[in-house]
Amino acid sequence: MTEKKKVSSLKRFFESRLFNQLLPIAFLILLCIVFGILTDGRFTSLNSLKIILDQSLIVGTVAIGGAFIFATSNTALSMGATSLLSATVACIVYNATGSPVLMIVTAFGMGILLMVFSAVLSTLLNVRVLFVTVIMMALFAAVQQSLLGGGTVAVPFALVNDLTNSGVHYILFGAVFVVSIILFNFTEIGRSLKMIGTNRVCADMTGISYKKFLTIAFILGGIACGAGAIIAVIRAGSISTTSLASLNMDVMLALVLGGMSIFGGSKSFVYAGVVGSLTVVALNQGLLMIGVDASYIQAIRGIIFLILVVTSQKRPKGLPAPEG
Amino acid sequence: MANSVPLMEVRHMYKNFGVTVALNDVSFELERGYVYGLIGENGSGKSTVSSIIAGMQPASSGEMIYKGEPWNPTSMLMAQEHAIGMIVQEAGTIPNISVAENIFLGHEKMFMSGPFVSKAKMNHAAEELLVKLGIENHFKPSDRTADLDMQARKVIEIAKCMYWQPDLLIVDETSTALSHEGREFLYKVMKEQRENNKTVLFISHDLDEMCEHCDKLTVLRDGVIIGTLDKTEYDQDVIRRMMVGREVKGDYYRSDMNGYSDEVVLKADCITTLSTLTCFDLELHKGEILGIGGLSDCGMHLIGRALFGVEKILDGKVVAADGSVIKSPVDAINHKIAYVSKNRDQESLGLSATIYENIASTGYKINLFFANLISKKKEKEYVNKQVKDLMIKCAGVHYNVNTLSGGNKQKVVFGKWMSMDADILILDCPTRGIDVGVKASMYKLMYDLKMQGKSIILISEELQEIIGMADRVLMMKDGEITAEKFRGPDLSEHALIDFMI
Ligand SMILES: Nc1ncnc2c1ncn2[C@@H]1O[C@H](COP(=O)(O)OP(=O)(O)OP(=O)(O)O)[C@@H](O)[C@H]1O
Ligand SMILES: [Mg+2]
Repeated sequence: MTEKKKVSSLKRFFESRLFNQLLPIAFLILLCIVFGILTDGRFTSLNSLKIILDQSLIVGTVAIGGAFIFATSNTALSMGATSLLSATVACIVYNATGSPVLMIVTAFGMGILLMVFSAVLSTLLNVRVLFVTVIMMALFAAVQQSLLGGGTVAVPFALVNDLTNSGVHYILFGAVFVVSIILFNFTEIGRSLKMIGTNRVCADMTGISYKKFLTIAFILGGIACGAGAIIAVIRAGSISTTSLASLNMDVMLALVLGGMSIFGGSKSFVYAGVVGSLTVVALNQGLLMIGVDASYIQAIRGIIFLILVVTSQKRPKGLPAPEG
Repeated sequence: MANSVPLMEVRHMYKNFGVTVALNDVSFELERGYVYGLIGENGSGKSTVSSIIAGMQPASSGEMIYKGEPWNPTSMLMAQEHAIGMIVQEAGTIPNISVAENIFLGHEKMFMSGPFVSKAKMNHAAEELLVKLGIENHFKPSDRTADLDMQARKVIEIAKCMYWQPDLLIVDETSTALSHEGREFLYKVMKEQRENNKTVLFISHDLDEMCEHCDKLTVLRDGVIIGTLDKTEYDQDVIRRMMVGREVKGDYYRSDMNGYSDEVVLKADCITTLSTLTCFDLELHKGEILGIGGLSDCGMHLIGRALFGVEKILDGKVVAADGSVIKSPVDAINHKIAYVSKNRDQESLGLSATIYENIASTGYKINLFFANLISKKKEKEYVNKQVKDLMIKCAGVHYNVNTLSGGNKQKVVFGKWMSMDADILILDCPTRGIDVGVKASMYKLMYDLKMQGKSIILISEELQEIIGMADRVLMMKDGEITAEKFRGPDLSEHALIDFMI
C-alpha cells in the first residue's frame, strides 16, 4: 500500500509543472559539468563563470521582458533591434548632454516607445505580431545605421567605469527581475497573458482584453529592452551597427531552453528567461572553449532551437480532439 | 438469426493515464442487431473505452475480438475501413474546410482526377450521401464548415460515419449537441442500424433517451462495469443507483411556484445581428429564471452571445440595469454578467491550461490581498470550492483541462462562472454532458441563486429542463419569439413543441 503511494507521488511529481521548471536547471548544471570536464576545469573556474554570468545579463534582462510577450503566443522579433536603437540613441544623448540620468531615461523611453509602436500597429491593423515585428526589426536597424552612418558611437571610459563600479548593470537586471516576477506571478497581468496565449477567444470571452494586455506586455518588453540597452552600453562602452546582432535569437533560445513553450500559454514563466540566458551563454562559451568554430556554434544553436520548437509543438497529452 | 460470434468482444481491458485509472478490468460483448447503451457518471470511462474500440488510443492492457479476430486498431481511419465508426463527444470536424472535405477527410484519394483531387467529384459524392440520408436541405457539400452551427457540424459527423456503412456505430454524447430535429435524425439512423442487423453503442446522460432507444444498458462506474440491464428491467431509480452507488431522487427540477420581481436587470432593445435576429426585444427581471427554447438555428444561442457583448450588434442595444450599454464581454463582466457558452472547447476553456488556471480566470479582480496583488490563498479557495461543489473528477487541480472527461470539462466552465458571484447568468446549455447527480446539484444551485435575487437566462435544447426550471419560457423560431408561457402545472413539452417547428 505505502509502496503504491510512493510510486504514485513520484509519478505525480514527474507530471507536475515544477518538474518542468526544474528540468532546465538540471540541464544547465549538466552542461557546466560536461564543459568543465572537457576543458579540464577551465570552464568552471571562478573567472570563467563570472564572465558567463556577466554576459548573460543582457540576454537575461531582455528575455525576462520577452517572456511577457511570448506568453501570449506571439513571437516578437524586434526586441534585439529595439535594444540596439535604444542604446544608440542613449549614447548620442549622453554625448550631447553629459547626463547619465538622461541617458538612462532615454534608453527606457526609447525602449517603451519602439515596442508600444509595434504593439499598436499590430492591434490597430490586426496584423500578427510576428509580421509587424519582422518589419520593425528591419526598420529600427535601418534607422540605427543612418544615425551612426556605419561607424560607432562611444561613451567616455570614465562613465563606463563609474557605472560599472556602482553595479548599475546588476541593479538594473535585479530590478527588472523582481518587478517582473511580481507582475507575472502575483498580479492579473501574468495570468491574463497566459490565458491569452492558451486560448485567445476564451480569454476574450472571460473579459481579458487582448488589446489592453498585449500593449501591457509590450510596455514591459520595452522596459526590459531599455534596461538591456543600458547594460549593453555599460559592458561594451560603445555601440556599432553590428552590436547585439544575435540578441533577439538569443532571447528566443533562452526562453525555450529555460523551459517555456515557444507557443506561450499556461506553461510560461519569467525565470525561464534567466535560466535560459545562462544556458545560452554557457553553451556559447563552452563550445568556444573546446575550440568549436564560431560559425559552427551558430549552426548548433539553430539546430537546438529547432529541436526544442518541434518537440514543444507536440500536443499536450489529452483526449483525442481533432479540432485542437 | 442469432450469430454465434459476437460482433465485438472486449476482454479485461485496463487503461491508465498517469495516476488515473480510467478503465479497470472492463469486459463486455456487443452482438449484431442491437442498440447498446453505455451509461455512467462523468469520468466513469465511457469515452475512454469507446475511443479505444474506435482506434483513437490504445488500451494499457486487455484484448478486443472483432468479428472473431483480434482487433488492434492503430487509427480511426483503420477502424473506419473495418466498418467501425465513432461520433466523438468533442467537436470532430475541421472548421476551415468544406462539408464534403470533412466527410471524406483522409480519403481524398477516392476522388483523384489526374494528379489532383476533384472537388466536383467529391461534392457530388457528398451530395448523394446527404440525399440518401435525407438531410440534403440543411447544408450544401461546398459550405464552409465553420459557417454552420454546432448541430449541423454534428450531423456532418454522423453523415461521415454512415458513408462507411459501419457494422458498429459508436455515438458518444452526441444528442446534447443536437436539437429536436437533429435528434430525430440520429434516432432514425440508429434504428436503421438495428434493422440492418448492425450494432450501435450509444452514450448519453439522458435516461429517458437511453431507456427509449437502447435494447440493453451497461452501467460503468469509476472504470468498472457494474452491470447490464435488459429492456424489461429498466427502472430509472435502479439505473441511477447503479451509476452513482447510492440513492438519487428522480425529480431534480424545482417544484415551487415562486415568482420574481418586476425590476428589469437586463434588456435587449431592438437588437439586430448579422444573421437571424432582427429588432429583437427581451427583458430579464430580478430573481427570474427565463428559459429560451427552440431549434438550434432559431437564434436562441445568438441571444446569449449578443447579451454578453460577443456577437456584433448592427442596430439596437443591450442595456444593463444602470442604463449603461453592454458592448463587450469586459462591459458585461463589469456589470456582473456571466456567460456559459455552448461552444465549450473553443470559447470557454483554455484546454492546455490547468483546471486551477481556468477557474481562477474569472477572479483576477476578486482574489486580491493588497492593491492589485493576487492572494494565492484566496485563489485556491475560489478554485477548490468549485471543484468540491461540482464534484469535478480530476487527479488534481494542477492537471490540464484536456485530461478531463467531457462532463468534467463542462463543470469547469460552469464553476468558473459560478465562482465570480455574478448577478446575471446567461447559461447556454449549461448541463451539456453532465451526469444526473451533478445536474441535480446544478439545478439546486440555480434555484438558490434565483432566491437570492439573481437572474438567469437558461437557453437549452432540452425542453424538459426549461419547463422544470424556468419562471417564464420563450419559444423561438427563425429569430422570432413564437410563444411566451409562464410557469405552471399545465406547461408541457407537448404544449411547447409546436411553437418551435
Ligand atoms: N488524456 C487523459 N489524460 C489523463 N486523464 C484522462 C485522459 N483522458 C481521460 N482521462 C481520465 O479518465 C477518466 C475517464 O474519462 P472518460 O472521458 O472516459 O469519461 P466519460 O465516462 O466519457 O465521462 P463524461 O460523461 O464526462 O464524458 C476520467 O477520470 C478522466 O479524467
Ligand atoms: Mg465522455
